[in-house]
Amino acid sequence: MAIFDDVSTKFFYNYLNNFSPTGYEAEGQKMWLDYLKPYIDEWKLDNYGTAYAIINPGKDYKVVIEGHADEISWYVNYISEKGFLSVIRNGGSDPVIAPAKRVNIFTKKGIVKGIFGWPAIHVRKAKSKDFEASLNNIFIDVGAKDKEEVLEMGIHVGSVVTFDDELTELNKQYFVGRALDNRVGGFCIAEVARMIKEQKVDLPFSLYIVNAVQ
Amino acid sequence: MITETIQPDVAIVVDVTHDTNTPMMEPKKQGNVHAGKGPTVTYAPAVHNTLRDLIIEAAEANDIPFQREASSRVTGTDTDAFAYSNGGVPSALISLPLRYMHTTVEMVHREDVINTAKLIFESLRKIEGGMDFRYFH
Repeated sequence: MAIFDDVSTKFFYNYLNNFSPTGYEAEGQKMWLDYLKPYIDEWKLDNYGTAYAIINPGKDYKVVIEGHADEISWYVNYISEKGFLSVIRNGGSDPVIAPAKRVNIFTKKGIVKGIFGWPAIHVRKAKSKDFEASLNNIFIDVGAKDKEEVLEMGIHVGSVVTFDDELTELNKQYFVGRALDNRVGGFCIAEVARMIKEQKVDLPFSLYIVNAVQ
Repeated sequence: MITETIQPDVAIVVDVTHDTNTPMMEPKKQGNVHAGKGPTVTYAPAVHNTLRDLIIEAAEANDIPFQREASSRVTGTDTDAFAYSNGGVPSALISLPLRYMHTTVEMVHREDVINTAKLIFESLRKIEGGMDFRYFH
């Protein structure tokens, strides 16, 4: 049995291209559970959004296989009068890689596009030789004329921001993308459930397949 | 945390780890991990020896390539949360080597993804219902 057949490869791409920053994992969790449903007996969700599937429920002995589902992101923590956003980290986000990256900002009005702006190389050199991106100087431009317009777009302090890069392949051997950490683990445990079902493995315990948030 | 809700007897956690063979990484300091050479199995205080050895035996019996790595104190993964919950849940960690962690170009090797799923699957097949993980009686 191939781990990457047409069905699982499609799921892998959809799941990894979906955005699941902390607090916004619901869609990804639904996608993950929908993929798993043919291979499991039950599924559950806890209050914070951890999803888990059960094979062979009701046994005394319980085994968990677990991965964490959330991706690293940023929080908007300040909006300047000119309409630029400052961010803080939600998880291990790296300010050094932020300049010139495109981002998605999660709002009640849906995803708003933005970019991490960065001054030109010749302007920068005139200022300082060691002009390094840090939380103190990176900023997001959403194309708004001022703070008021930013707020009208649905963005506010606390809005969650992710990079918008999608999954690609290198040399037919590597998958490349944002936040493979650790949704690729979520894919692996889903494939384990599929193997158990397809190979008709009779487990002597209840198996819990957990895609955790927090 | 979910460990209190489920009250498991065993937990196998899957996460990612650093491929340390790309530029500017230090295999001697960070452990020698190559993407494409299989998932890693971690040795750490939070990892249960019997469960870890069961995973390694599953790998060897089924010709699944794997690598070893060691963590002092915490593993920095959910393994710690499971291991130190509910009076101690026998836990182990299987990790996928990943390049350029926390960037927009994180890379994993296709074969490592396949072998990680296989290793978890084959490990589960070795776990018996009611298995006792105490080191002696």
